[in-house]
Amino acid sequence: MIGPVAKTLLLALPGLSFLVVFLFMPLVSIVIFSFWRTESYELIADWNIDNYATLFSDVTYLTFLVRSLVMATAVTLTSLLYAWPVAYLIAKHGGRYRLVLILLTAAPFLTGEILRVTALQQILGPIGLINMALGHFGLAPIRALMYSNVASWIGLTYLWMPFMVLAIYLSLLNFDFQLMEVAKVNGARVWRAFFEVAWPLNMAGTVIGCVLVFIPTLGSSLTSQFLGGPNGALYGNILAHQFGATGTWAFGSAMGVLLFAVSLAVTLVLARAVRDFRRAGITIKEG
Amino acid sequence: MVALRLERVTKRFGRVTAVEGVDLEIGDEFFALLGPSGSGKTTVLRMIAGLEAPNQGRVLIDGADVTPLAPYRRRIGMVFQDFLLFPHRTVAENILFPLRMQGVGAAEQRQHLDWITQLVRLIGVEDRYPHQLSGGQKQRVALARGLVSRPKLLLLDEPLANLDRELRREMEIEIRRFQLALGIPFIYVTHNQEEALTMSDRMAVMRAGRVEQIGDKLDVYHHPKTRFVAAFVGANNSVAGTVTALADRLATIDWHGHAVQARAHAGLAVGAQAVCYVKSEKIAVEAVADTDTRTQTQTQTDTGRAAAAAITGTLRDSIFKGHYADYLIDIGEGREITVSGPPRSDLFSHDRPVVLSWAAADADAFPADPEPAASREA
Repeated sequence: MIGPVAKTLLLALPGLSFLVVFLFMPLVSIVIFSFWRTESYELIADWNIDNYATLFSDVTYLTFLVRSLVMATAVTLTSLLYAWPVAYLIAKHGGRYRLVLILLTAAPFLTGEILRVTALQQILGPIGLINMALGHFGLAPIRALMYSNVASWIGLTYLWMPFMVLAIYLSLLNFDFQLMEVAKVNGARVWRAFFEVAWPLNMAGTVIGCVLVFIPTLGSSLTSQFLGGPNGALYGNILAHQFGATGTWAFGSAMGVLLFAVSLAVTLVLARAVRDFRRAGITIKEG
Repeated sequence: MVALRLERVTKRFGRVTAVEGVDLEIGDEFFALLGPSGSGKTTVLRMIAGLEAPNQGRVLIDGADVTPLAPYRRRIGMVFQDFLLFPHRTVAENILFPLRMQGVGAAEQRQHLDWITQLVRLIGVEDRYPHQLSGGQKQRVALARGLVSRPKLLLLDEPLANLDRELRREMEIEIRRFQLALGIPFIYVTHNQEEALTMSDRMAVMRAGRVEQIGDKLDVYHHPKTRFVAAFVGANNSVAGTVTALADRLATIDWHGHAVQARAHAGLAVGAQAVCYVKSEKIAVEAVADTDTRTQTQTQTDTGRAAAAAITGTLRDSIFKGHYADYLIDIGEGREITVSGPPRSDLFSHDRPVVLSWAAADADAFPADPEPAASREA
């Protein structure tokens, strides 16, 4: 016989073991490594804070971090503007095709990330679809699309937006669209009704969508590597470099710790938007 | 004065015609739109609110054509079936929503809030959220939100459907009181005839997108003009038979050897099939003395000594409801008739022979076939 406490622990085992093995242990190890140093591609347990000193004193690294923050903000805002109408349309008018339509928005996920990024290269690049077509009509190619931050921005938005659509859509599934009519009958114009009712009542979904887009974009390296060109490197590229070519794992770990800290801070700031659950229409049974 | 006028309003959804050529004139009164589900009554209400645009016809409020106007420009209050309070707003914020949309100043909002919370008796819960309220309180908040801006008219879409019986009774009287206090038209959609009869001044009965009958509620109740209304409004019993005579607006129908008399409506002809409807409370029931037999009663009836219609039967059950009772009477041929009346001690023993009678003017006869009757009909 096992007692109720043991039962609860047994139930918690899969989740807990997952967290320990895949989140806690790697996190602890990079925190530890970040206070070591690397010599000839080998980690040496020589405790110091030199990695952080370099990270915060050399303006290069912080510049890349700011770049990534700007990129992640731009990608998140673009996704937000684009995903809301898509999710709203599918949730409200999708009818019995709702599930199919929402799966279609995630269809690109059926291919690998590299494949999707190279596919974008085929469209945006110098010999890509857009610029080839322009050239065919004797027009100048759009330079902004070729190996630039704009190309990265487009690529990252394309990669991560489905998460935003999905998060908002799931939130809208629990939204009573009749409330929009109530607002209209009671004197609200269409946009006013949206911002009085639909927006606040789906704030939780919107915030989750923002986190799901912002965080991966902040640490991304592949997209900018393929689409960003020589001047398009982001924080993630520099970080990946430490674990690759230069083999400075200890410094890379320090960069990783900083990235984690910034991600956590952004998540907490975004979560403040739904601080008061009642204001987000989330009702918790009392007692 | 006509506050609201609908002129030949028609609404189609794809190939389905939800509302067809409805004309209505409503003054400063309590008006009920009664009909079974799918009769188009809610669509009529939504067209008045501007939530649906009619395919044909016009909607006029205070003489002005509002057909093309968006809902927010119509200044109408509306109360919905599921209350539909904003879950993320407090009671006060919910109630003040229409005023805030109109850009009314804070001081004036406060005045309106005080006035309306007093009227609907909703004091002390202003800072709560909807999920913290009881069903009755939610309903009062919904009513307060609909009335706070003193709209030109208030639309109510089955507002009591989700309340329990006790609360419904209480709210029926309350809502009626609000209408009298404010003096604006209340248009009340319901499938519940008891609500319509309790609250309204006038009512319209709808079926399949059309208005079947419109008029004073007592008139609709006592003098149905169509077979549907006769079957739908009130607790009705029906007997079908062949018309044997038509005279002086009275029809005589032969029901298995009994001559049943009723007011004749258009379309009846001697020799044709007819259905006669009579409301439960208009039937008199008399116990036949134990020594009597059914044959004797039958003979008495045939001599014409009894009322305009008389049928013999057997009391199957008496359902005591407090201030009245329902008597279920088997009249043979597989038909059962329900009679409502004051509780009587002589009618509580089962399987008693009884005789039923009603005045010819209390029954209505319609042609049997031209239209399918309401599901209520036995």
